[in-house]
Amino acid sequence: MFARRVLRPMLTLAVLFLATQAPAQVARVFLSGIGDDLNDCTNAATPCRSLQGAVNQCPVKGEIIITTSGGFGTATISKSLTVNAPSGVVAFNARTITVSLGYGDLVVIRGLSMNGAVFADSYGIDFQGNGGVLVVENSIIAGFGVGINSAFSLTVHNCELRNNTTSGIASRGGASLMIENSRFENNGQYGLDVAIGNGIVRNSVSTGNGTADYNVRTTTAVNLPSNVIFDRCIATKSASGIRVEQVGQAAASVRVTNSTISDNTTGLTYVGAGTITSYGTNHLRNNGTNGTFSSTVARN
Amino acid sequence: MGTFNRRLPIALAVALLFAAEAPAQIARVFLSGTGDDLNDCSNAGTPCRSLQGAVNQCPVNGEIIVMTSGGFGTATISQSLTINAPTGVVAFNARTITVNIGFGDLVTIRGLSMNGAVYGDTYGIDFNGSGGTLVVENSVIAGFQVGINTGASVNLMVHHSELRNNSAYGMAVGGSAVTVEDSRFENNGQYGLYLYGGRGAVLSSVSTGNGTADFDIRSNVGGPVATLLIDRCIASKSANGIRVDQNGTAAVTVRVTNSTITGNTTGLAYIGTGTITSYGTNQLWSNGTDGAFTAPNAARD
Repeated sequence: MFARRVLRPMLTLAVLFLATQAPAQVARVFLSGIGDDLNDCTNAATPCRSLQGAVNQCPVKGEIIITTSGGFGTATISKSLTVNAPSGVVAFNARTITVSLGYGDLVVIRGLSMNGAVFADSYGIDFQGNGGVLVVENSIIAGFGVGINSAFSLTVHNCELRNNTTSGIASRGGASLMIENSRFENNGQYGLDVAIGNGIVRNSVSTGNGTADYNVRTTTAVNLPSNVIFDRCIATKSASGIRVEQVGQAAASVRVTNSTISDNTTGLTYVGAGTITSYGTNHLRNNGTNGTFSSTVARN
Repeated sequence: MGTFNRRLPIALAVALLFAAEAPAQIARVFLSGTGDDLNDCSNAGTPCRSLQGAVNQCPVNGEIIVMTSGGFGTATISQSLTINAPTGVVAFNARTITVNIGFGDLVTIRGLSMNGAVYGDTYGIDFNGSGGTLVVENSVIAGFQVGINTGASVNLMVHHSELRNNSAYGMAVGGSAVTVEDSRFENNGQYGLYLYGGRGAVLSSVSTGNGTADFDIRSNVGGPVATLLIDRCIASKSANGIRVDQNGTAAVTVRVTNSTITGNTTGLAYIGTGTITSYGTNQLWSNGTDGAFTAPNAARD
């Protein structure tokens, strides 16, 4: 009876086709909510079950393709690879993903839905190690202590960082940052917290965060400056829209263009000698106290 | 044979379903990670397995519809057609796709996830021929030496795509026309966008973390002029944000508006007599050395 069923022979055929075509070397492995980590996950018909299982089977610089919705669990990634969940699939993850790389390594995380509120892990994505570049795109990271904690070069595109108890993104130690088309919403303290770093935030919204939508600071521990530019951004509904905090000698410098800061208790907040410079192209209004830009410079 | 007999009921059912409305001529073929190139791929119930198989069965000006996630392999396209992988499908490809078309031909590649890092092929998409147009959209092209490469007399349009982690260039355009919109050039070994002769515009795009330059525009001795407009773009985290490199007499002309150049070792770099002209609407800040736009600024029209 079973053999007469339609699916089984089709599956058998599929497996046979894949088996005959499979090269010794593969560039991708498959991951599904109904897979098994004991499978040969290079075969689309026999995917892995957990993100860690897929990471383990993925070749260096290879790609993990998520084929169906599921919860995929904690993982540590310590080599170049891409995690690719297409739209239409909810690649859910409630625990920390640790990315620990060396110089020259590249990791791309695309399309995850992370929600840590039930387990309350400290980090959604913890990017540490000795160097490397992490790209996070098309993802939601919510409900952790810190959504993305980064010590190295981080690019974030088309993401939501929300409902984290401390910060949406915390970038530290002089790391560089490039954020585009993203939203920082309702995080406990800061939407974006740059504790020593350089970067650009564009076409992004930070709103409803407890202490500040955007916080740019320097520390006494490391004598390096922070330079961040905000272009076409919104900062609203926080205690402070943009807050600079210069501690010690290294300058905390922010530049703002084409942006709107409104509906905060204080629009622009200074702690210490930091600067928030305008290109004369912003809207600063309707805050409890607007505050003022340090100076205005001409565009180039 | 027995296995095929068991497939017969569903095949028949699908065939009947389509038979009523199927014209003799079809406009599309189907491709799936569990298909077979020996199939009649015009039937959604019996898709092809490889991109080349689907290309071979696709009529001129027809469409290849990718139905399920899978790896689809290398292909050469030499006729007008569209590859359409919808969101929700990872249409994976680790080897070079060669597009070699003639005057008036149109190829659209939509929704591919290309990652060549394991095999190390030279090109993700190698676009040659004379006078044809290639549109690449909603795609990721990563891990090759060059993500998209063009010959000298083609027309390339790229929209909503990522060109990343290629060991040399995200995109290399030599002598042709190029339009890029809403795309990202990230962490390529040398240049994000490399235009060596030719003309084009880049709009609402980001180039970041590329080794030598985010945007490198140059002319070669005896080669054509190079002209590029950069509007609403970001150039960051590279040795050079925008670099012009004029060799010989063919002019290298870049204009920049509404853009931000920041976090590079050098913001604007010149080799030879090329120009980078601003419309006075840019942010050039926080580079190791900002450099300067070529004076004077241009007025917007």
